[in-house]
Amino acid sequence: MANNLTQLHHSLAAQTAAAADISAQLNQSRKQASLLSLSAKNLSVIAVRIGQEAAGLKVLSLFYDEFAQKSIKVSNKINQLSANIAANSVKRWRSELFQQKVEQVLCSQPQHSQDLLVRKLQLRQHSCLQLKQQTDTACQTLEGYLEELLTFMQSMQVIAINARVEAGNLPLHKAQLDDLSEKIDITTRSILDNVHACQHRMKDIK
Amino acid sequence: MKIVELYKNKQHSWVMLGRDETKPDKIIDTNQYLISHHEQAILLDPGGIELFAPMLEALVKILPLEQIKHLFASHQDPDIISSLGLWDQVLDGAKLHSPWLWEGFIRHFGMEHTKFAPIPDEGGSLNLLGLELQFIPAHYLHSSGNFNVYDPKAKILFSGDLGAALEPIDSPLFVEDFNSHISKMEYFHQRWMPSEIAKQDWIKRVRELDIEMMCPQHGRIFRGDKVTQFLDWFEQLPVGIANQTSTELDSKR
Repeated sequence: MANNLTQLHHSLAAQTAAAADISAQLNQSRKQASLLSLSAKNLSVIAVRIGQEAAGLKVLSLFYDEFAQKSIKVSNKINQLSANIAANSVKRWRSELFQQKVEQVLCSQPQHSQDLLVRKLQLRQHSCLQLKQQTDTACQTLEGYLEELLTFMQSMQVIAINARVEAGNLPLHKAQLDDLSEKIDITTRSILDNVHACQHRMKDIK
Repeated sequence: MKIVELYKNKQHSWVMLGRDETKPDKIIDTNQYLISHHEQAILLDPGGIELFAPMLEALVKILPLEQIKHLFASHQDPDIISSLGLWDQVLDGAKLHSPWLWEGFIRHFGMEHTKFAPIPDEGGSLNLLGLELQFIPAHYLHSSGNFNVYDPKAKILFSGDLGAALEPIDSPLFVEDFNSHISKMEYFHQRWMPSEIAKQDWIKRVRELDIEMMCPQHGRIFRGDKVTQFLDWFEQLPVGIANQTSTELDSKR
């Protein structure tokens, strides 16, 4: 029983650490998504300067910005969820510790078993179950958000390819546009790496 | 965990809980006290998180837990109150009386259901169904926000770290020979207590109280003339010695 509890405490500690890790990674991604949004705006400015010739690029820049904004929103939600999961883990740890101590007392002093203690023990068991359910739900939502972020980044990569094609039709601005596309591509890949790392980290939370 | 009744008069009692043989070796031994009056009780310096289970085991033998309406933490140290997060889950709506200075710190131990009752620097009192307990300032001895508890009916002073001795678990409960006890508390008082002014101020305040028993949070309890002996000894003891050489210390004696 003591071993099981130690294992549980370790897994709760791992859960807290993993949630904090995901939060940190996604905070980084949020900053990168802000850079993407800035790059999209730059692209838009260049497209306006070029004029009618770059109408396709202007549309692509709007898509870029839209996905960048969506990514920022999703990253913020993930951050909030991770914080909730970490807070839940700490509550569960405290509750499990309490149960462990009270069970110890009830076993060693059965003749002094008081209603209050039995009631509190049941309450904590119930609250632990609730916390576990909340964490499970939060994990499902978190996985959904990570998947969403992944889709956004993959869409951005597709847009990046199209942007390069458009840039090929504008030889005078090709170098500048290629440079910008490259920046967007690097940032997108970096966010993708973060999301993959977070998805891998999810196994410690579930 | 030993349970020792120190005072009993009808519905009024003081119980000392301590000398827990099951505690891990490297954590300091602590004395906890329970004051009961009619059907209300206060737990003084409930102890560290490691002590929660033995304390709970002891308390269920003494009284219905519902009667513990108050907790008192003389200061913020972990051996005093790191069990708070667990007491918080067992006691319904209890009040924690503690120096106002430490509220934000103590809450780190976990406090969702317990109400914090801040004690102002000048001290205060608590009415335990007709028993007036006094919170006596003992600031800087050793903590910068620190109180003792005085029960004028039982004539007992809970003195926290004052009078404390760091001793093995099987030590006697009471000081019998004061002179031989000095070596067990001298370094603690010299090294932990930082302020000469605060020391003299506390001694003056405590000399005005009618004390039959002085109960520290570590070590042995002082009874009768041992209380005055302690105050006389402490009065001349140099404190705050961390940065002083032995020659400097000798010159102060």
